[in-house]
Amino acid sequence: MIMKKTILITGGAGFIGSHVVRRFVRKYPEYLIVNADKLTYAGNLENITDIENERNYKFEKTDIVEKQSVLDLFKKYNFGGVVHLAAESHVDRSITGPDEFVFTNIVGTVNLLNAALNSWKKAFEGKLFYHISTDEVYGSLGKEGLFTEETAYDPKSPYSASKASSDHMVRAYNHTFGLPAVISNCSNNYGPNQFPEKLIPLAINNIKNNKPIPVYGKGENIRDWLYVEDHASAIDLIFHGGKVGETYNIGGNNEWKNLDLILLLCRIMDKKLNRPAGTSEKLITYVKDRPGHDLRYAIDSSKLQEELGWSPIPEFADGLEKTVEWYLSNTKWLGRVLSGDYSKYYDLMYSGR
Amino acid sequence: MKKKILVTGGTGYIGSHTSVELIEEGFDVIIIDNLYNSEADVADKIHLITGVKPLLEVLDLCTLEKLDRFIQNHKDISAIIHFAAYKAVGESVNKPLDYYRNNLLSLVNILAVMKRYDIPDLVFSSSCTVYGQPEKLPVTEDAPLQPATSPYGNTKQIGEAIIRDTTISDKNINAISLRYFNPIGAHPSSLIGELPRGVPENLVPYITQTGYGLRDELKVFGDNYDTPDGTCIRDYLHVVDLAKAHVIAVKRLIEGRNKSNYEVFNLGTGKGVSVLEAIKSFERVSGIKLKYKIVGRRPGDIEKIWADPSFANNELNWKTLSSLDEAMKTAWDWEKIIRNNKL
Repeated sequence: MIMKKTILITGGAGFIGSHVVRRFVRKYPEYLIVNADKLTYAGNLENITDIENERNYKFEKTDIVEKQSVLDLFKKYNFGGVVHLAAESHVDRSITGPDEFVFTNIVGTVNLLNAALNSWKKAFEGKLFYHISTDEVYGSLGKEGLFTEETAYDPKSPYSASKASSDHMVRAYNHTFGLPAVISNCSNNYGPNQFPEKLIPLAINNIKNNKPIPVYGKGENIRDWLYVEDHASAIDLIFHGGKVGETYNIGGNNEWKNLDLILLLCRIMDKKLNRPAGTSEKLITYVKDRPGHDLRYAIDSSKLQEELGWSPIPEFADGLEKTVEWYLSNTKWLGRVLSGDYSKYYDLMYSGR
Repeated sequence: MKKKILVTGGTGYIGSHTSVELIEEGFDVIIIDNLYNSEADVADKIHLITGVKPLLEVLDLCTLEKLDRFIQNHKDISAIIHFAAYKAVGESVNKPLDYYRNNLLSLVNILAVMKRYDIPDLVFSSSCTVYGQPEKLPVTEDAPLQPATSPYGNTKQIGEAIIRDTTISDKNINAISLRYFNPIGAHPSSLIGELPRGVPENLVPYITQTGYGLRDELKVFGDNYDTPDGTCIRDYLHVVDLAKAHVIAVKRLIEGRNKSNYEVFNLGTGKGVSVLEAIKSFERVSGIKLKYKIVGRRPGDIEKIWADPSFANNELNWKTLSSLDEAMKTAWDWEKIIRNNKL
């Protein structure tokens, strides 16, 4: 088959990125998918071993903060499109060390924007720079209301501030230089392959090992949860059908108080582990709240639903159950992630290639 | 505003792949299917592939009242792609009335509601079986139709005639008949594909099932035909390529680019492939040595046929993109997936 297009996916070894890479490689044999990832702690090539030998897939270990390597990458492949997912994403880490977030999320994005401009030279027809972002750029909500695409940016954490900056740069390049760009802002994701520092996999792992489940404050913070495959299907749709210059919110109308989510997860885990009902609940431990912890995120994705017909698939309990099953049956993956051994996978697979 | 396309038989083999391609081209897809030979969860698979959930109405097209009531609520349908039909050649010989009733009545009802509700455009799923054994190869659209060798084949010939006569009598109706050669393979996601019930009549599912170990061996019906290696020759095209042709045909009608209000196109690769060559292709992509045995000819089999697709190439700007091996690989991936899931 003749390759019709070469597409760069950044951060394709990460949690969401790996699902997007798999989807694109499987579904579009006529595309060459180039996965550029720095393989930080959150990037794990073991997430995509099932597609690593496909003929329409290439991996490039790349640090997007290094300007020259980004330019070289564009020179080597002549990309027709970019799906930019590479980012530092954990809010707690952004509080203890904001610098990395500024480098990767802001400088890295600008390096990619410059490389795209430089490579495409105004021949923008059929090209697209697709920037993936978060609903956290909109700040925090009270009890009522939803973030729409019109909501003013009001980021509160170093993480969300860095993502907001990168969103602004993407819009500025679209406005100033005519770079064909589109942005989507998504709510919290969950599902297989998520790094176990995040709430759901952390809780699953702790419940399994009878360790305390840390809950910030009183567990009253509210998040809107979306199954990662649904995020990937939305990205696919927007990449292929979204309007240039537009922003699309992605979310599943699925708001949960952290505590209620943990209680649901405990019930599922009790069932899966054949423990008496109520066992896992006893592991809940309230810890000091995160500084500046946003109370509530909730996103209105009706633009995406109406314009592109998208809808999410699993009910939360079903998606959560699938996630639990995945973590319980992928204990090797989890063990290697927790021990840090997964980082050796790259050396094993790619050194000397 | 998205254009709404009604796909009958949209959970079937070719219908499901076409629904996916339509959604990916930005159409709003609604499916009518009676699930006689398919599963409702195909609509969920289409949702998984595309991120968009198609509306599935479980309905028998032979019941005009029910069809009419459904269309009343969907008067904004721009075009219909009519796949729904019984399709087993062998079965049709034993149950001719079922085949004539189902395949022809459903078509007549579709045309009736098109007239009643001013739905102007129809794409019809026809077959190269209408050519029988053509005298000249590759076969072009103007080759004479041969008397059908099975009730199934006859329903496709009569179906084409019904549509042609309707377009002659009513200039507001525009139709395209697509004569498929032999579609094979599955969607690259391995989420949808061919699901033959019982013993497959078609070569490729028989090959992949044998490769998987579900069948002891493949029977090759005849090696003394007048072909280079003595086995029958067909024109195998990837089902995704075929599905894309339907999207192009629908757009041609909606945008009014058709040259007359009834058109017919061959859809094939233009390359003839023998049974033994198909087996070799399977062995290449699977790495498995296939067990097969040459047996006597099967009555009713055409010796050799392949398409001249140049009319579709030029007029529709469509051609097949996948090679035989690429299509075969998706068929093999699909076979492995469905067997694994069942075990």
